[in-house]
Amino acid sequence: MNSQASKGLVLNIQHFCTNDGPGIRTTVFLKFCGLRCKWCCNPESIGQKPELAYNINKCIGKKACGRCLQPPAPEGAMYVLDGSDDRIHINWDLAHGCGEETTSLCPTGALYLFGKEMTVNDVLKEVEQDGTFYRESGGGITLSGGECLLQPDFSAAILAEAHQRGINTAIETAGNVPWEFMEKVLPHVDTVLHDHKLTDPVRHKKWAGADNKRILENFKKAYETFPDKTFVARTPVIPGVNDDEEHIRSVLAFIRPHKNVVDYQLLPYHRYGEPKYRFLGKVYELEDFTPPPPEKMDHLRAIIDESFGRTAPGTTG
Amino acid sequence: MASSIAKALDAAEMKSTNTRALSPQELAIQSDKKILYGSATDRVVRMYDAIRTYGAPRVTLERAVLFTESFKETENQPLVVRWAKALKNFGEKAPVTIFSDELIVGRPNTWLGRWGLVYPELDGSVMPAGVEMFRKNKGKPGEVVVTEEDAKIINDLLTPYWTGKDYATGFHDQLPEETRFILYGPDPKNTVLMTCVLAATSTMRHSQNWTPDFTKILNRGVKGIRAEAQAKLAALSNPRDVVYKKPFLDAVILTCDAMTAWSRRYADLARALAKKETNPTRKKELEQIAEICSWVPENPARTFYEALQAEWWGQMFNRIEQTSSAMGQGRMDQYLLPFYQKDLAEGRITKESATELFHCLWLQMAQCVEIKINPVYAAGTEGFSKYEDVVLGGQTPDGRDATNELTYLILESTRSLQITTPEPCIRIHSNTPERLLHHAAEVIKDGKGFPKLLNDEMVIPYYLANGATLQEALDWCVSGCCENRLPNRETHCIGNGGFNYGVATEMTFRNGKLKVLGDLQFGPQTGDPRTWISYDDVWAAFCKQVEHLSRHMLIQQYVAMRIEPNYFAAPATSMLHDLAMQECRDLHTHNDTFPGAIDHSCFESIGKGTAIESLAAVKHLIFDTKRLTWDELLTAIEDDWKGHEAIRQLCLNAPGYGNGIEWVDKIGWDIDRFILEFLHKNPKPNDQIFVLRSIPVTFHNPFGMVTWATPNGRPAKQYLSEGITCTQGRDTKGPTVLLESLARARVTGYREKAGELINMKFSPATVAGEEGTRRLMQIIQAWHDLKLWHIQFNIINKETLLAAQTDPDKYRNLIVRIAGYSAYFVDLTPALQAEIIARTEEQMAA
Repeated sequence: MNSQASKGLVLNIQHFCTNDGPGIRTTVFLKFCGLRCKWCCNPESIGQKPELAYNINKCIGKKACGRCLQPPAPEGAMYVLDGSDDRIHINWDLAHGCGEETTSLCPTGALYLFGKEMTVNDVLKEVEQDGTFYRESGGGITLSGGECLLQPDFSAAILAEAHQRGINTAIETAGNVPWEFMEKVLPHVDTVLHDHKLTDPVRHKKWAGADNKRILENFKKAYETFPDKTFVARTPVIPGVNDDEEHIRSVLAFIRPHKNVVDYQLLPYHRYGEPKYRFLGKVYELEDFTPPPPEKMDHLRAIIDESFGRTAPGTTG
Repeated sequence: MASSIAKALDAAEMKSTNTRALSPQELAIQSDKKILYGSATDRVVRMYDAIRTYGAPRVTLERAVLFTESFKETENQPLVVRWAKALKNFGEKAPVTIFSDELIVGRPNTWLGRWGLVYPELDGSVMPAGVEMFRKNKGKPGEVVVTEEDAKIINDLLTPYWTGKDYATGFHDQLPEETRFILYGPDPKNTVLMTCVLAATSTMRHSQNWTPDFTKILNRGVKGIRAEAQAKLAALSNPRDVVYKKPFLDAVILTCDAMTAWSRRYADLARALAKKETNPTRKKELEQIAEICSWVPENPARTFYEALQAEWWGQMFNRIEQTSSAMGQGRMDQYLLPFYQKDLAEGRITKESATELFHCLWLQMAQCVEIKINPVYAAGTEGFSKYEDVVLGGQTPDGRDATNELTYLILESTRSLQITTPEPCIRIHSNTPERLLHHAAEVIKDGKGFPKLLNDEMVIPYYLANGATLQEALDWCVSGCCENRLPNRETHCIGNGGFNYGVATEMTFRNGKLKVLGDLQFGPQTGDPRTWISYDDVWAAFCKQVEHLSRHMLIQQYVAMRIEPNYFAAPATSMLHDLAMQECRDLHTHNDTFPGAIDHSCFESIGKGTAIESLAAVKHLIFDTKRLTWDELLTAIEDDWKGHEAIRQLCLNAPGYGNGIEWVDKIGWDIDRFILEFLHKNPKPNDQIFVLRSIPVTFHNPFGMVTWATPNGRPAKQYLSEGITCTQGRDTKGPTVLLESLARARVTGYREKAGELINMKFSPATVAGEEGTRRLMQIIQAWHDLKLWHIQFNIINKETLLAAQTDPDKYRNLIVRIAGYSAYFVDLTPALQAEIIARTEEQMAA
């Protein structure tokens, strides 16, 4: 198979990313994930197929437009309430299968499809535009998701081709995939950003939808199989879930024996993804959660700095 | 846990949980701090306070009155001599005033506060209209104070003499009829208000942006220049030379005497004040001022202090002589360095006292504002900028990095005060030291929009392609927004025309007519779009409209070139120019090119993004996807989108410029190439050319006012896109993609291609901390690699701009970046304030 023509499901290609590996990076979000983290900031990335989304703020209403009220959308999938506000509402049960034929009717982009099929070459063509910025900043491409390792052939092809074109590569992974998938992709990765979400397997299952047994096995194996790769461990710090010292220390105990795990970064919980739940007709469960206070982050980071023998805070969030 | 920011998502919603970081400027305003960064002496703060509390700038008329007085007595004499005699009249009679904290002295007005000169020989017949406009603006942004007494002088003394004699009227009257219609509309009596279909900036300034070679005053003194003129005069024998060269040499001598006379009167005043002064410190200062003013500008400067005072005398005479709307300071870190190092070594100055002297100089500049008496030009150049470009860094004529200790000291000195002068600009090249890049990024983060950056990678090849030697090219200066100058080689000093891409777009889709301007026929009839069967037809019509307007751009420029020598002379500027002294000719006589000169005229083009987006929307919606019919689109445009919001949304959301879409960016390339080819085929005589530039100042506002709705979803009368960027707020893929698109959407392989302006806006949070500084440095380096001409940054929160609109008094010192210059936000009209708020705020992806 011509690997440049191989296809995958891409959610979004985001430029000028500065927290997904070294330098200024372009992050390619791939669709599909095996976990169900309640704090997920990319809920649109979870499903395996393109998904309809709707931002009512952009809708100009039935009177001015109303184009989506006709086929091909199933009858009743889009509707308008009585009253002066004639903006469209969605019946998500009916609208579930709506695809590009429907979203292309929307002139404002209020109706939108998350996820589109792209070839390796399509991806590289857009990513490569930023080459000048990679050169000046030491940046490159980062595959994220979703779980990019759940499209192992596509991911491996993208990253191999990126290496061919002289571009630095990184991935963000939660590690909950068959080892063969990881083994296939990692040879083409320079920096592996990988998540240690929770220590306790039961709580991991409760908060992230699966336990962490396979994840930890994979990571350990990865550290040992790919000694020349750079690994960066990360934890999204969720208040009351994993913002305890024990978790940080247990992650340190896990990673510190491996010299190729060069850093452990803490990412404070944020709610940037919340509006997207609404756009997808989903419910955001962590309604009452707030970002951890900076002092808390400083305290936890100090533990990591000590473990890495650093005096000044060296991690970013 | 990278967060994917989906297109469907409002950026504002994403930010809602983000804590807001403030720039140093915002912090200073919040905490009512006077010094933005670093320190300034009490004297400097006192003067700054006095100047900022003086309020709106006021016209100062002494120059106009003394010039008029002299001109009345010299009619029929050679123009250059008349100018020199007028300067002498000024030097001998103008008021001399020294305020109690000043160290650098010399001003044409009598108050400590902002002042603006008027030039009746330029546009005296427009002045009554200007006075009326200024009075109407009372209490509003853009206000200029004209007292009853001032108005009386203008209306009773200046206007009567200059009406019919001024350049603006002459230019209007001498235009071919068709060109005059385009510039001034159907009313033959309208000599004031331009249509803005095209603009002719020769009627608002005597000269294009200028950078005089002040080193001649510093190193030789006007005595040296005078002696050179005298020697040349003595050697004149050819009868022709007596007629053609002698008046210029006479004028140079008179001008040197004028400068000396004025500075000596300041020396006398300082001496008199010193005698009365009881404070021993100030007494000493005044005695020193007296000593310095009796020495410079007549003699070569001996000290750093004298060098700065001499430079100010040079500036003052340049400003009094004429307005070039830009007052380039040249490569200050280069030519002041020997004075600085010598004084430092010999203990005459310290870093601190040198900084204080710079502050005093910057404060003098900050008081001199450019006021435009013509309402159209006032709208096109909001914010009163005088573009006091101080060029820093770059390379030496022998190709080494030119950065030195003064580069850093000068840059640092510009950070302290909330003033819009000077305009530090750094020439970036591949060996610019990391330290300078880092320092520049830190200063940019202050939030005042300084420094702007220009790219040696672009300007040096431009000059090499245009006949400069490599050494000359390496020594280029910034002059104006992002224009460039070789002070001793370039001679072109005529204001350029302005090309409006907005109306060219409208004319394409409305068969050559302009709806705002009475639906009159301004362009050729290129047909009803409904009959067009492919995008090629659209492109062909657009090209015809562009070519039509371009022809008239050149015609108006030739009229200006032909008549300007009859109206203007500039001996004080000319005597600092090698070629003018060599030829014994005033620079304004350049309708016949100086031997050895680079004498390029400029073709300024504004609103390119509006045109690209409109053509792309039509191509995409009518032809490629067939989502719209011509009828639907043209009806919606004709109705200014009213009742057609769905169609407007389709247009707004069509693939847009600045978003990394190759075929869209290619339209920009096509447009560039078409105009460059046109200019290439229409060169000026003597191997001189018209160069294509995209530097809008604020003309994208009045140009937009006359443009009806355009197919990019823009409503009628709204501003056009600015610089070479896409429409404000329409780039959604971040700064890297934007810069790549901009780089792709232009043609660089023509020697006719020059300055292009890029504005970029970041929230302070995006560039916070050392990491943010590094990020900014990387963006600058990538911008350099992409071979873009110019870039500048606004680092500000949108909330601050909104707050400044509701509480202008609290934010009266808030400085924002406009277009190659910065200005006080509250000095801008609401329309321009809105445009600046609408500019895309670049975010880092979370």
